[in-house]
Amino acid sequence: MNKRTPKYALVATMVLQLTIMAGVFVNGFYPLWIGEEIRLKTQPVDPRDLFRGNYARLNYAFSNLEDPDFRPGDVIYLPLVQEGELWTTGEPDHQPPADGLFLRGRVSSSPWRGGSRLTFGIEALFAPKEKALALERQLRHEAVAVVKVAPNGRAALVTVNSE
Amino acid sequence: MQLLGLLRRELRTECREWVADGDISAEQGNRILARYGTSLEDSGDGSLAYKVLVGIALLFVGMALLLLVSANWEDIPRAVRMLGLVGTTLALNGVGVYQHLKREAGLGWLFVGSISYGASIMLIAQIYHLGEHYPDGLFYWALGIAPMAVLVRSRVLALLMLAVAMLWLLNEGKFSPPWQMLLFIGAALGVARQARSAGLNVVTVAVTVSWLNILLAWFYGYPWRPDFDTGHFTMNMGLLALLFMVGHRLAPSEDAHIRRTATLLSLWSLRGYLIFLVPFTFADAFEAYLRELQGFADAGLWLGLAAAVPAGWLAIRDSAAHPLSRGLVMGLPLLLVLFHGMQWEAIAIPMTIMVNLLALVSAIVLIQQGLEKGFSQYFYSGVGLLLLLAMIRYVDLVGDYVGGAVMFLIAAAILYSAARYWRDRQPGAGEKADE
Repeated sequence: MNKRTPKYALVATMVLQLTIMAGVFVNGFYPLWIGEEIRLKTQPVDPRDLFRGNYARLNYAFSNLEDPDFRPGDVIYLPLVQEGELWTTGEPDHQPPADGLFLRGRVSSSPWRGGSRLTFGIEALFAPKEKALALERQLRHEAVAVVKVAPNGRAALVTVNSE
Repeated sequence: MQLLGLLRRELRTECREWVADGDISAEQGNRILARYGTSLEDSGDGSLAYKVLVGIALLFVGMALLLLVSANWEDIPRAVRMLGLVGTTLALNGVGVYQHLKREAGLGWLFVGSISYGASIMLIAQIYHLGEHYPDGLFYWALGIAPMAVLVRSRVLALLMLAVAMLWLLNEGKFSPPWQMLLFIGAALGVARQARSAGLNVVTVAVTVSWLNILLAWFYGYPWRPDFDTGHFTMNMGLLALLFMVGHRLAPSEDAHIRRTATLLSLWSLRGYLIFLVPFTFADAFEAYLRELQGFADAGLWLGLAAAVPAGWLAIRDSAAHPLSRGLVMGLPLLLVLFHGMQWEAIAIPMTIMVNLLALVSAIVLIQQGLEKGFSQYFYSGVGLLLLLAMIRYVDLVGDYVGGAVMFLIAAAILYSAARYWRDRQPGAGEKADE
């Protein structure tokens, strides 16, 4: 390896790291920027992430799926239907709906129980431990997640409120 | 086998004292040390403590950084938090890269920079409440360290990459088959080759074995979840045999770091074999193993054979290995086919007795080899195995009290014979006996 190669290669590695960090940021941020706001019923539970601190894990009515047509790893689309101030979801599909708002997510395997788990990127609200626990206590029965949904179905969590 | 080669630092220290005392010349000292890939002039002994302490200090700095930024900075605006994280990572790695290019230094900066990089990914996800698939963060972390480790040929960065990749493997392995692990295994082997590191080679082999086990679990449970089955035992038996014979095959290498890798592979695969034997000394465990096997269609059998057949071929060609280990490795493919083909629980009791006898014979051979060739690791492994077997049989009596008593008498006879054998082989043992 000549002297120039490692220099450029090392700089390229730093650029790769920067690109990955920017990718993580853009992936999470753009629905907040261009998305349409919706409100979904949810239920917070408080776990602790070893690497990322405390957060309230949010369960939705559509978080679990028992449908043999969908395998772990599949992309899943859920059409969104407005019912008053809140939004609910319709039947899951492998293709995005032709019109209207929808959520794009992924089917994960669920090693410890039957059925599959669906993830849409709106399942975690990070907060200090006390706040996460308080959220869980206050909003155990009546919580509403404020979410922004981009036209391609990618969603980002804005906040969680009482109903 | 060069077990002594694993203690090069201690050897250098001893040799320097012999030279200083005038027992041997410097040239003789260097000739002795050259057999283990080192020399009297090799530096680094004094700075090792410094390096270890600085390394641990840097690890603590990294952990403090991780905890500090994990503490949900509610009062700082999101953008400032994110730019602070990215800026810190770039600055740390920038200083490290600059020092590396100037004077081949800066590993500490790059190490802390790599931890800061991982913390940044996790915390950007935290700031924006990203929770879609958390193992992705670990994957991106390991992915960003991999090229840095290869380019600066750093064992420490490669070990950090492997540790993060292993965490990713254990987490991602619950959701999907982690094929991408091959990338990190390749990178780690590349660094081990460039840095001539036997330790990194062996750690990478251990990670590879874990990866193969998770892939097999996915084969069983695809597409829903990983399922761990008795076929895993079959595959791991084959892998242990292959690693043991590869270790023997590489032992005579001219290259000192290959010789050290070979020694470590042989030693750890041997320990793995001894640990593997223990559960099969119970009739219930053997019966469950035979009952749960999935016949010839079992992927575990074919993966086990893919490792056991080349191991058997190496055993046929390697006349230097002990006849017991050669015989076991040569017979392993046949045994695996037999177990999967018969699925006959009636052979569980005779096979358990055979395994108990095999464990005893293995202990005897290890003690004998340890004494004859001066391999203390073998000697203590044999004694440890005997004591473990005795303890297990004491708790779980075979048959009845009389059977247990007979087992203890046999073990006592073996230990006494080994002690007599050792005493008789000591220099001057004959003269003492004559007196």
